[in-house]
Amino acid sequence: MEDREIVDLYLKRDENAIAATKTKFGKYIVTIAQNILGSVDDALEVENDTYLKTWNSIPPTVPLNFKTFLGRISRNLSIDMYRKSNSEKHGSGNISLLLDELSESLPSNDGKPDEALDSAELSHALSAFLKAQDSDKRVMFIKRYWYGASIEDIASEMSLTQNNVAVSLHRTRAALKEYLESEGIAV
Amino acid sequence: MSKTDKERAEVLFDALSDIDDSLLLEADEGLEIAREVSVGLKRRRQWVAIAACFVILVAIAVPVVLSGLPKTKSANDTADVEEFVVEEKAKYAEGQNAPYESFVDGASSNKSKASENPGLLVDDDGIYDSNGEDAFINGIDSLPEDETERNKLLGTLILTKWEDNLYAVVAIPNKENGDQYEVLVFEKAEDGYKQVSGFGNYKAKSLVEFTTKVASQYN
Repeated sequence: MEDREIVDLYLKRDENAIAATKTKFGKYIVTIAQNILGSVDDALEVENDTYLKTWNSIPPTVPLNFKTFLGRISRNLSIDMYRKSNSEKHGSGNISLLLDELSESLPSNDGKPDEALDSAELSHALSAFLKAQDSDKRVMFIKRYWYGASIEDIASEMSLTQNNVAVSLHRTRAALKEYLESEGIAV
Repeated sequence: MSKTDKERAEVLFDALSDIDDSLLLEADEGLEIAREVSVGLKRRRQWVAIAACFVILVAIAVPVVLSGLPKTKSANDTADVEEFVVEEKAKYAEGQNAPYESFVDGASSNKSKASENPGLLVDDDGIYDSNGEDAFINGIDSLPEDETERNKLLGTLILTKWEDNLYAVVAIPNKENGDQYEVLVFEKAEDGYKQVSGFGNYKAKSLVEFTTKVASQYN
């Protein structure tokens, strides 16, 4: 079934929309959640929440890209679950590791006191930075920090060694820090 | 990482959520496949590890178990011995009539040995002189230096059975040259045992009779 047809089911309030979504994107949604949370049970919970949130969002929202729309919901719900479980001193999933790595990209706050950008502006800046990178580096970075994929999985998919992936990610993180500082972007 | 840095990293992580769709679509190719492949590889590695452990256990256990079982003749054993004898016959046809090393290898690899002579010791790992030295491997040097001790060995027979007495190796201190062993191979024929290598040409209805004949020749 085409994505547009599935969205139409949502717009018609046809409950078959959820089954169709699960069939076509269930694995995608679970993969993102599991990558971030590191737990199958939590990922399955996020999957169900994703369907519910999608059901409640369409309409009025009509996503231009249904797949990334679902991916974002899954990612954001996973982050919410991480924060909740982290505050309850439950498992911290894989996000802690990702945040540790991303902290290498934080621009220095020394010097002139730049005003922090709002989230949309920062997203735009990140998009611009990533588009300027080599394709492989860009794909690795997004797989790692958006999809939460493990270095092992990335290496397997891209036919690289884990060391190659780790080194490439390290360089991209350093480049991001340099980019943010050169653009005067505070975080 | 300080709390502040962690919060800042979270801001960066959150902001990534809204990067352009085109970037996400470019990177999601093979995402689920990669996880499946990774899981598949992990499972395959686990199975390989399990299989390797099983092979190692079998490799350890089988010899241990077999060593505790009575020897039985098998087609492979017979074939090996027959091949060995054929090779020895060929060597003798070429005039190579002192194949010590070949006999040593044959004796060492065969677990079915028994000694009918108290002069030397025979076990599953080889044939030893009274000093515990490997008689075949050490050859001349393995004979006791003491003349009295050496003389005790003269004329003794070391009979080694191979697989249901089909074949035998006999090591005999040479009566003319007491510091050397001679090794003879015999095979069981329809009418008894006959020598297929070494010196002379002996036949006997039993190994005891055969070794007695050989002993009388060498003493």
